[in-house]
Amino acid sequence: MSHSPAHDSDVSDVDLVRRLGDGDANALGLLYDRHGRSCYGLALRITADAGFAAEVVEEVFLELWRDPAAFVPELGGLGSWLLATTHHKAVETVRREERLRRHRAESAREIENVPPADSDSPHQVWSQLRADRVREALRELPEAERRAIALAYFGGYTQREVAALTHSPLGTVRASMRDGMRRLGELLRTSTEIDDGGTRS
Amino acid sequence: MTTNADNHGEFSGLAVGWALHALEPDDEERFSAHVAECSECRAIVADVTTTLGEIVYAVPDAEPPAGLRERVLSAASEVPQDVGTPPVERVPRILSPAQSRTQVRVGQPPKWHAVWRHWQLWAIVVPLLAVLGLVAWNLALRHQRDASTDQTARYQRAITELTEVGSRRATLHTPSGKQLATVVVRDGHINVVAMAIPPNDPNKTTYVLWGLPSASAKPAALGTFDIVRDGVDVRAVKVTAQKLDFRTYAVSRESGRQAPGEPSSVMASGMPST
Repeated sequence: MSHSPAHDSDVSDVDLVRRLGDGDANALGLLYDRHGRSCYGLALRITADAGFAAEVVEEVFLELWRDPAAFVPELGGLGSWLLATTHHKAVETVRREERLRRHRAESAREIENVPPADSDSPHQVWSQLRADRVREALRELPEAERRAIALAYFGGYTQREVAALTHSPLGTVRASMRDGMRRLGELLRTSTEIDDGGTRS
Repeated sequence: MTTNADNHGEFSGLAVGWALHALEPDDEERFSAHVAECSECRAIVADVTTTLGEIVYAVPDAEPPAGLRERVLSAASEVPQDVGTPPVERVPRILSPAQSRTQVRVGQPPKWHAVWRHWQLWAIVVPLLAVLGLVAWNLALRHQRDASTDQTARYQRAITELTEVGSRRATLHTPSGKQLATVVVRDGHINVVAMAIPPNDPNKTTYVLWGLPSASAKPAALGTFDIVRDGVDVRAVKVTAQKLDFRTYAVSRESGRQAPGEPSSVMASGMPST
């Protein structure tokens, strides 16, 4: 089955995933064009290795190709599904590959101060606003909480590894993650409510 | 000596680590045993999972290496697809306010206010998560790392189905009391959250969902579905009936691909809770 580029640019993610079910490799290419950069960005952040990040992204898209029904559109967006899958695979990779260990703390460092990407499309602008809100919320966390969360989520460290890295008691690390995630959720909810009452309808 | 409150303080810390995928194997096993019985910890996991869905957007995009696109497509040409249930058979609903919580569509930002309102309801409905078999899922996660992402995705889909506001749900039990699945009826569609229904041969057999208006009435076939894997999974029912609200729901496995006039043998049944 062939599809013209002009037509494909208007096709939704959901329709492209449906075409995967028909064995349409062109649809896989289009989905990669749409989401490959965000998946690669996350995989690179976690693994800090271009080669492993590429392997992770390849596995993610092949998983979608292998079982398109694993993504259920009525339960969330494809972008979120792909990023969640990327995160899990990237974390598994850094835990498996010992030589990546020394880079993991660097991966988790100062995520709140990561420079923004260029934004020129409406989608990118919206994503940038969303990213800014998350970074702002991260900046408001106490350092110990932010560090514990970043090491676990972006570095792939377990709680005990975080305790060893930060020379903190395990109980303190667990409390920092718990309090930090609770605070972060509240901050994001607050900023969302402000946005809803202000610039967005 | 530790009190229950002390113990639970520790588990709340483990709950966050569990959601972050940051527990050591022994902690993971211990927490898995606990979370199946603890609605408070399930609520923490749900909250953290929601917040993690936002954190990921702090990471900027990056340009993949040249050639990766071709590598993906080349590999795909050699990878067989699982075509057990094509996605076109799934319920074609795309965006309700609650479902859009993580949805980013081109030029269509999510409605955050509605999104967060939905998540505030988690604390009310989250006890339903007990039916998910978290222990089995999480132990499988530890031992089957390659399959972990798929399992996680199915688990999350099941959570969403079981907590969606405005749904009518019926948990189906066998005559011996074993819980097999939960039927979720919403907006003219039906999904089955399978927990312990054995896979069927989609070429020779089908599962049929039945509705009973009363205990003595003849069951009406509502639609068919297939089970393609063991464990937790969300399956869309191919609805063939107009009326979907019944006092009792039941499921049977039938030979052939069509629903018969009446079930050959009911495997499990249950009444809606909402």
